[in-house]
Amino acid sequence: MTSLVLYPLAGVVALALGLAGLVTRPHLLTKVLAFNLMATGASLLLVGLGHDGTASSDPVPQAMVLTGIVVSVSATAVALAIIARLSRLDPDGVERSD
Amino acid sequence: MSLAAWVFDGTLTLTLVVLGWGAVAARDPFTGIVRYITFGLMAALAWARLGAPDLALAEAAIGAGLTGALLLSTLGRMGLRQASRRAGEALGAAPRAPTPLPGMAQAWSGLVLGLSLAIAAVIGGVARTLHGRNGPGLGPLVDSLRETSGIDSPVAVVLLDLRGYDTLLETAVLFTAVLAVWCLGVIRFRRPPWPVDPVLASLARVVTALLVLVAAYLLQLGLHGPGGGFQAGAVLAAAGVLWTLADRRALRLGESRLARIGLTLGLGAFLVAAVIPMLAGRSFLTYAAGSAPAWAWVLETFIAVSVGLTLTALFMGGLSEIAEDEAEERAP
Repeated sequence: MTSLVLYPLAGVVALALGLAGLVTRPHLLTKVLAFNLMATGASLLLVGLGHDGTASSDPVPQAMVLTGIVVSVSATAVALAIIARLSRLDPDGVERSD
Repeated sequence: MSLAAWVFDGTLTLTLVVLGWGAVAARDPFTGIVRYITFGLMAALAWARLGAPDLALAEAAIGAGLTGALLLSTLGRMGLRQASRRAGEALGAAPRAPTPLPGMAQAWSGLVLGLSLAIAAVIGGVARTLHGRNGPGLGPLVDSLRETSGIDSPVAVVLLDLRGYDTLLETAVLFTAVLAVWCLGVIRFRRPPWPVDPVLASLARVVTALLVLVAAYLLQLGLHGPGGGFQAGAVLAAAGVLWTLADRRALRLGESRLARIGLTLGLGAFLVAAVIPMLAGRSFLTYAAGSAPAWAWVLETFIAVSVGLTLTALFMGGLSEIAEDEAEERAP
């Protein structure tokens, strides 16, 4: 067992933290941030488990995660544009918990 | 050696977890965002450690850099009134009534999901310990296909040849994101939106030249090693963000016809490359034997330009409108 097993574990913890933040934190920006944390956690899990203990990782999860990073920045940008619009219409709306 | 590896990996993963916790648990969003950016940089280190330099490049430039910049600029756009109120709360001056645990049910479902994930990870870890190491995964298969395809880099061959559909749709997602952000309305800036600093503007010119050089280097590296269109595009986007901050004329990007064509280049080139093989009787996205590297090179170049412009447009957060005079500025 190599110490690389720690990375998928850290990925799971990051994913769970992100999920907890997404459902419990009231501020919308923190929710977006938590969603990104979940994405990174999931990626760490995928690539970390795809690592066979030699020098390089399985290229297929790597390519999927690369796609995932680009897709999540697009989703983040759209979410943030919606939040910015919301904050103009209803400045208190971004912090409401329900 | 093994102990050193455990110490390094232990420290890095612990840092990741603590920063992730700090990012979501922070009382004010600004602190959370700064911690999240640090988390992203540490994640880039983790990718490098996992033998995934492509991901390290993308995570540092896009995951930490651009996402952080987007979050910070949105926070800034939300206005000072809220920020000062939040600061007051953070100091405990006017504590809001504590949210009466807004969704215990939600928190519970989160906990259950988190627990099931943790159980899955423990099972995976135990299985791995029992078997010593994982199987080789899809690596050998990709290696064998790499020779028929002609693209050297294993990640590039998956992205552009074997799983071209995913990358085609990824360019579509990027394009759609810009359209969605532009549909959400126009951002009005005062004139000037921020003081244009002549030192910053001339620095931006020098740094942009360097960034374009780095992007070109990453691009030509892409078929043989770590790098490629998306990483090069992210570096170009860094130049774009710098220009947006240094010179307000950059905000006119969305009006420029050339830039609008550039935004469509990635998706457009990919669609053309997908359809041309059909003229020769092959199916969608099936390149002729030996022609994959040439296609990949062309696609990566177009993708780099288009990703750079797309991410810059996303950073601007909408079509900008610069108020030309005082009267117009006060208009709703």
